[in-house]
Amino acid sequence: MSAFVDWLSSPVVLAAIWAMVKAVIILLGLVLSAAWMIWLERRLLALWQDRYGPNRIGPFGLGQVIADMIKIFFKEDWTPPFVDKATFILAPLIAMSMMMLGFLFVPITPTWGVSSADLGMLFFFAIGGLAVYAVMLGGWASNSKYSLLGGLRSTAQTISYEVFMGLSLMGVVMQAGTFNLREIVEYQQQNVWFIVPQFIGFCVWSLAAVAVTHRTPFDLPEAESELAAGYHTEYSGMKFGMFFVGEYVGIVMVSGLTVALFFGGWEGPFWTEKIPFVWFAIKCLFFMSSFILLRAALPRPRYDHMMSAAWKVCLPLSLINLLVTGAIVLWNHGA
Amino acid sequence: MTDFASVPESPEFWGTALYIVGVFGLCALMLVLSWLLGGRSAARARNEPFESGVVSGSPEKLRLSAKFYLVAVFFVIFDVEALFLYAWAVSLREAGWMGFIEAFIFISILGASLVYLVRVGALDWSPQARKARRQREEKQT
Repeated sequence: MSAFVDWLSSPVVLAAIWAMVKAVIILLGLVLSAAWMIWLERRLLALWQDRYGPNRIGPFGLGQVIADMIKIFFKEDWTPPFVDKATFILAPLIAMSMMMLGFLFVPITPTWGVSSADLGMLFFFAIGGLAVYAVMLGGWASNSKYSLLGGLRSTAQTISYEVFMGLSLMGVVMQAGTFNLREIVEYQQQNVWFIVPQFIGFCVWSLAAVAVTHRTPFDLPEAESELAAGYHTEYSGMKFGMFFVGEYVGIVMVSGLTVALFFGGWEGPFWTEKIPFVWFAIKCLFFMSSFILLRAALPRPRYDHMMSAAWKVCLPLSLINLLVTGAIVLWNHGA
Repeated sequence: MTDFASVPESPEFWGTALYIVGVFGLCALMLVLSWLLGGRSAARARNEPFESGVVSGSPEKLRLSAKFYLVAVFFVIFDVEALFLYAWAVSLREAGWMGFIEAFIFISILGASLVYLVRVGALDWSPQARKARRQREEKQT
């Protein structure tokens, strides 16, 4: 027994336990902030449309999320008889878990962040690629025409935008010389935030990020005016809820990545050492709110316009950005 | 104690492992909880695919527009080429100007193939656009 206590209190084990506690806290923080983002979105949209939004349950309507969650848990978990059961259940699971896994490598503060492995950014691209399966399988397994059309559209859209999503971030990688997100943040603190030298990269990346999270104006996969609800037409109850929460987790994740990649992570104008998390949270909140502002402000483009914008504008633009950045970095390096 | 010796000692490893387990555990928990808690009901017309109230005309799978296959093929082509550029981006300084020239040639080929695809109309989404383009070309000749 005492041997066990000794083992438990050895520094290696304590460090491992502390890392696990941190991982759980980050995971819960991510899910909770995603859940309360639903409230934030409804309130902000209401504000911009001269309404009140949910304001009945709890202070400022903050309890709305809890009420909705309890309600959705008691909804019938309906698996329609005409669907392909295994893939039908798998799809929302992929949708939510992949977006949550994307947060694995986001550096939050100097000491917080689940992992800071060197493959951080590549892992994110892989996760982005796997997340396509959620909509594709969801649309296909539903065996309904709206779902299939929505799933197809969504797949084509996401893969089109994924091609240059990676390329748009390669300018950052070139300057920092690493895929490690934590090192990218530290590089920015020694030099300048990447939003300045990589402005084109940022523009292209933000387009790709919105498209990959399926948010308005790029939410054509679920364009309700033509496709009912797109790939999740046949989903109800918690399975629908998981698609929904997955979308919001995706927004939080992408905001966190944008902050880390282009806006210096936890660095603030003052007190960076004292309150790094506050700076990170403020920046994240800003980008999360921008997602909502986009939804409030912009109409949906036509599908063919969106696809040609991806292939004919964004892809060449990110390739040119890549070459110019490479030349400048090499020029400075050689000098 | 020997059992633990072969296990990675990096605390980050344990955090990552638990995070991944937690993600899938949470998703599974949500599915199972709603399955246990949810109500059950039955009705006459509910077990049909939703088609805005219209009775489904053809139960078989839809035939897909070939357009989507084309996009998938382009994705494979361009994303694989993008992968080479990832490798170049991270090793930019080691590769030096020689690597830059090689990447330049590579990107030029990529750009040329993109221009070609645009010119043959492979990236025009709607059939109308393709038709209009063909008519314009016929008028020119």
